[in-house]
Amino acid sequence: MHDPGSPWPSVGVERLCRAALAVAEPAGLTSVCASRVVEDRPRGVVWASDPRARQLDDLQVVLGEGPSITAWAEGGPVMVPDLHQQWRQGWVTFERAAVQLGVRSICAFPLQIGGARLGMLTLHGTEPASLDATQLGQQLALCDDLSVALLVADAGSGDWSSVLDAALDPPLAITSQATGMVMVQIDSTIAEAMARLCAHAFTVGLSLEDVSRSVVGRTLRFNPDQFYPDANPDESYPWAAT
Amino acid sequence: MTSTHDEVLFATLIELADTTTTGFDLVSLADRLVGACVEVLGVTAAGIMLADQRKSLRVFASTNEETRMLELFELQNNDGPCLEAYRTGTPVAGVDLSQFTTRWPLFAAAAMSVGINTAYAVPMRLRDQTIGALNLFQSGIEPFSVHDINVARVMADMAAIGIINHWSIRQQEVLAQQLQSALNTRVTIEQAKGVVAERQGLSMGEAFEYLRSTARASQRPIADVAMGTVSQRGLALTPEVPRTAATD
Repeated sequence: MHDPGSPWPSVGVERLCRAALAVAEPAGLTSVCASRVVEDRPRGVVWASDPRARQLDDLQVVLGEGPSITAWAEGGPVMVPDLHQQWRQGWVTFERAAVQLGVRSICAFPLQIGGARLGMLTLHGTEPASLDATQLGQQLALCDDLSVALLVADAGSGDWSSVLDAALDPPLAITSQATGMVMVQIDSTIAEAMARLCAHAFTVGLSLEDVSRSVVGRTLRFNPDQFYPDANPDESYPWAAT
Repeated sequence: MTSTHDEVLFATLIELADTTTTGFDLVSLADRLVGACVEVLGVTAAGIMLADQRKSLRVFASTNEETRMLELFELQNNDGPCLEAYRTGTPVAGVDLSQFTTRWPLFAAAAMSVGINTAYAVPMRLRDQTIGALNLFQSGIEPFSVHDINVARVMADMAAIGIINHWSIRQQEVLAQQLQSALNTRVTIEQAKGVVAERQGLSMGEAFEYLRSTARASQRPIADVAMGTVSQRGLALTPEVPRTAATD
């Protein structure tokens, strides 16, 4: 079920969500939902496998609590093998509401690239369930890909995968450093800076690694007022897109 | 001086034993471990690399936080002693890298171009898995003594134990989660280095030092300081960074 309000292509997210489901279904987690968070605010479901998956996400957003919220906030997966056994103090409202929805088990993952916390992935089942170590490892790898997919969706349309994979999944040191620098240069969030770097790499047909190297080497400087960054920032430079 | 080296080793062991206390900073421990390698073994640089879910190696700690050194570590995803140590689970030595240009074409050339002529990698093993490796880089071409190799292996083991201890306190977590968290923490730190370097006109090494001293001064883990740095918008004020006057 695709969120009709989403303004960007989410094909990459859907494909990855279905892959996550394929890994999790044998374990008894039969539904999945991926949602975005922008500047600490939930921004809606990007893809959900069924209505209850979406409802579980909405429930946590409305209540401001739950395993997905905690996963996002703490930067690590949260497993709830059986909601009928109280999992956490102070989650009484969430647990009751989730059980009423028919949810029995949850595995929630943050979607993040370093400090850029882009969203949440929530798997759930109607029976007690949990992932084994192998499945967990596979989910974590998929979450890395999903984080990139969410980022790419922010950066605009187009097939970015060839540009991004090597330098972003997980990020090379130089890519992360360049992202931090751009964040200051354009006065944005870290996620926006990342999207900007990616967009530029794609636009000019360079690898993200090469663009990052130029930024860190200070031969390329981004500017909040211009779409194109300055090369040789000491002089004005007519930047021609290839 | 052997006794001083023993002191450094003991101090590091004691710090490792403290991993069960709250406020423990894994990044700081790893940082001290690689620093201890340089002090005790006299190598030019030391670094810890961890593998992610898809077996890509990433830097987790390094005595040299400048970009070129980090890139040299990361080059080893193509070839190099670290990749071999990780794959085989056994230590790998490359003494005089000019003899290894066939075996490690990319790594050997890059290393020698920055004055590194010997490289060792000791695998970090936990349970039945190799989770990464400790890298030692040297400018000279003398091989290590058996004693030094044993010290390196102890350091690698301590790094592995530190990682597993850090997260198993909070809840039952499998190794995959712990490595994921460690690697994501490192990404945040690299992002924060970029932010600080740009704001203050520092090198990446100086930026890391700034983060580290801020963490120490405020008694917070480095990872927390880094997350705070990247969680703001680009030009936001932080208590530690005075805003420079806007120029036209």
